[in-house]
Amino acid sequence: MNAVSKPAPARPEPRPALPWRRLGEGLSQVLQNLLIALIYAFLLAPIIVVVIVSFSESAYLVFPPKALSLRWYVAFFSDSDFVRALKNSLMVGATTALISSTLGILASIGLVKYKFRFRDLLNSLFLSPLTFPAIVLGIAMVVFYAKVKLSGTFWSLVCAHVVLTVPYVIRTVSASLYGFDNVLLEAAANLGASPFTAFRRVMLPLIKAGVIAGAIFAFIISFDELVVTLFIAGPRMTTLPIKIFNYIEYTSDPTVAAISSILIVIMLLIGVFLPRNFVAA
Amino acid sequence: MADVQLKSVSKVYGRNAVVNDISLDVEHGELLTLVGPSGCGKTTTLRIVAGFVKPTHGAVYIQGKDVTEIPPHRRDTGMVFQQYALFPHMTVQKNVEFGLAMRKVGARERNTRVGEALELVGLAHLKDRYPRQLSGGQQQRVALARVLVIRPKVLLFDEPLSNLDAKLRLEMRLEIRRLQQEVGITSIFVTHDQEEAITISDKIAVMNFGRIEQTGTPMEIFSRPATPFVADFVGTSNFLEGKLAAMEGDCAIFESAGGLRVRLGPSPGLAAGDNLVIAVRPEKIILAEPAALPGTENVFEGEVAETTWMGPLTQYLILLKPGNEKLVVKQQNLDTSRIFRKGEKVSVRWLPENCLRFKK
Repeated sequence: MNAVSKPAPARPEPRPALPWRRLGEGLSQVLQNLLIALIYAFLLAPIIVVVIVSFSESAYLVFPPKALSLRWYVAFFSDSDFVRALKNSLMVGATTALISSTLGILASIGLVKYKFRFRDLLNSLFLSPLTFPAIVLGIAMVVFYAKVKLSGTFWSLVCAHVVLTVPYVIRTVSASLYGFDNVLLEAAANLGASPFTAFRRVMLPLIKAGVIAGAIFAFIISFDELVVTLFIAGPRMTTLPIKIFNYIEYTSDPTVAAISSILIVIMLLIGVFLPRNFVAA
Repeated sequence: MADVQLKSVSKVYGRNAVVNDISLDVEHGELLTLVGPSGCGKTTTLRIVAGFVKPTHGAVYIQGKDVTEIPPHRRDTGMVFQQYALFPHMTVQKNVEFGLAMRKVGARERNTRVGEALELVGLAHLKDRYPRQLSGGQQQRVALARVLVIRPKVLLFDEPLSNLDAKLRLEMRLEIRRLQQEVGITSIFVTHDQEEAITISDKIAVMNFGRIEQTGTPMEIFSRPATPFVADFVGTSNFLEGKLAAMEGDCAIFESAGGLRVRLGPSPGLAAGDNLVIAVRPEKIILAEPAALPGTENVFEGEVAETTWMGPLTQYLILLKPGNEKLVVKQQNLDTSRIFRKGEKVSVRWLPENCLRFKK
């Protein structure tokens, strides 16, 4: 046997941890956790306060409440204006989510799966509503919709919200599409699937996560959009955020707290349950 | 009538003809292999048959019908992809069922046929697994079952074995051959591996630069290559360039650029003075101690420049006298054979009939 030709390079011995150092690490761990707790408290406190206030008996927004009741929930649901606004918002949100996801999927397929000139330009164009100040978009749309006689209707809101939400769908769907192998579409076609069937049976199930995430984004953003909506919503087409906005100008009873609590629950349900059940697969 | 016919098919991208005027007949039940180096256009040719690529010129016929304008999903071909291309969100059962569902086959018949197909590839017990829970070999079997179950007019194989490890590859290629013969479906198989092509095919088409260099049975391709490219690609060859020096009866005497006088087998159609390339396969050359070979016909002296021991055989690089022309020689490692070392003098010999001849 030949002797070892080259000595293995000496590896530096890990220095033994000094007691004060370990203490320091422990302490910094505690401080770190404390800091995180504080940040969470800072973020969550207003939400918790709103929920508590919504169960207050008093006619004013006071915290902590002296007595509990459900009267502000009753007040909300018995006010037909509020209920109509909620209905409008849900309808606009759902329609927006549907249209946005459809357009977003189509645009993403084009942007991710095909190579063509101006692709990058088109991509930035599709995402540009993200970077525009909402107020600019609002003004632009109010002028445009007046021209095309679409002001103050359900569809004008949907159109505006689609513009605002499509970028989110494109983002999430594109991310899923990057992981999708086109050869699967070829395999499907080879086995007899028409292009649409191949999309529905093979591509869609595999990019489901991105599509659902995009649709949720679209719904939530549409549901609480205020700035652009203020410009284009007419008197007969009021959404919940606008109704709330108008309401608190003159009144400060806990009805808005009750609404807020309802919205919080809806968002929690959407945000927590949907992704768990559908996106994880 | 051939089952699959390509008639002067070309595919041009920009100014680059990836497939250049290819005509091909695949008879019913036959397995034809397209073989060639990467970039030779073999995969594009296959994709033209499947319909994924539209030819720039020419026409494709499947069972006598012109399918050039027909989209892939109505061509009734069954393709096995290199990357398997199983649907990751479906079980094995659902994957194999897919083609039948597309053909609106009833649930009961679907079930029986899927069962049969999985039985055929030996995976019936794994029907509820997802592709990610299978090994590469198993996935490729599922892919095979998935196309066999629809009983397509043509089976297309796009380098289906190249993602498998060496042992499994040998096993799968026998399996594919067995299944193909069992079901008797006309097949086109694409590979860059000439050994795979030789062992699996009824017919081979050797491609290079978008053209078919030669079509024939494996035996024809191997023993009578039409061009130096085929001689080198299918099995390797030693090439010697030179001239035909003289004719002795119908046998020719070839003189290489380096001054070797090689006797060729019967060579009708050649005349003294023709420029020639001759090829000799490394395994057809006998190696021995200097001056130990009987006879004088095609016996040459040389020196070992390189010895590579490869297990069952040893490969030598020999420099031949007088012109130092290079010769690769492969010797079986029998009990009796001795291994020559670098620098040793040797003599070599090959039979006149083992010289392949190509006019220049």
